[in-house]
Amino acid sequence: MEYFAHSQKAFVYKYVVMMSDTDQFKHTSFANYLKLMFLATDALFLPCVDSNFLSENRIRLVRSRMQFKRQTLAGDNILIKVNSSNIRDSQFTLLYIFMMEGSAELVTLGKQIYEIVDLKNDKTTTVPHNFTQLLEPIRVEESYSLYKY
Amino acid sequence: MLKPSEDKIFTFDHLKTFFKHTDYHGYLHPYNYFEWTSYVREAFFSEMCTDFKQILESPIKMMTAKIDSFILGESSFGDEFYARFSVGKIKRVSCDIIVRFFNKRLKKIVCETQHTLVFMDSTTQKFAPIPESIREAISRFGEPETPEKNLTSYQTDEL
Repeated sequence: MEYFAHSQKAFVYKYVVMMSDTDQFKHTSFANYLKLMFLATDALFLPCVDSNFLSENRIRLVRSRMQFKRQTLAGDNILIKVNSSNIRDSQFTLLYIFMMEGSAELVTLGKQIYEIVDLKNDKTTTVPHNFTQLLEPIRVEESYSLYKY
Repeated sequence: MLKPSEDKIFTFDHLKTFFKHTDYHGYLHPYNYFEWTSYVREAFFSEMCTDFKQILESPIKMMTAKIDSFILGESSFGDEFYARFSVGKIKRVSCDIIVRFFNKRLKKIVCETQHTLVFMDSTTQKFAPIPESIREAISRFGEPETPEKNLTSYQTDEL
């Protein structure tokens, strides 16, 4: 039998669950996973969003989805893997896998659709080249994914 | 805070955009709709289920299984909202909650969130039936037949 190793590039953001993320049930509150999804997105975009870009454009969330699979506690180490998909002229999708570091147990699955808005006319504009350069190396075909986001 | 009306529509109207809710460009950050969704549902259960606190102390736990959001408009500093709570499918151990955020200045719905709540017995780690008082409360606040329902229902399939 032969084994094949396939490495899929992804942007990875690590987070340690804090006491302030948890509620009276000792688990991370669902809204905090969503905050974490935005945090990972910001970290991914950081190389592309200088003051010049932000003076002319903004990044607008169109839709968002998250599925919760496993609860986490204060002190848990979470890895957030971000991939891109459906990169189109004026929109793109980000896919998120939250997993426990070490055990790789699935915590949540996330999906967000973004577009770039031109501040001059408040209309969507073409995704800038530096964004596509950032998104292409982590691009996946969503329909071939192991998970249904 | 939570206002039952004659036609079984609940609104939560203590939502307003402050600086902490805005993004770099002065728009309401979409994350806030998720946080506000939890306020709306907790206010609903607190108000409508007289034994809600006892349920919270029991082994039956309420968990969010998934959440979708559809951003339908932009809001900014000072905007006030009311959020309307309604219920979609009710199953034995889960139910779908829909919250629509109406921007009073823009006079339009600017966001809709749809989430699924599932109930579990923490002692057995198995799904548990929806507690009777919660089932009774949510069954009275089904999804109204309104034009805005059609606005977002098709989008769910795309995600």
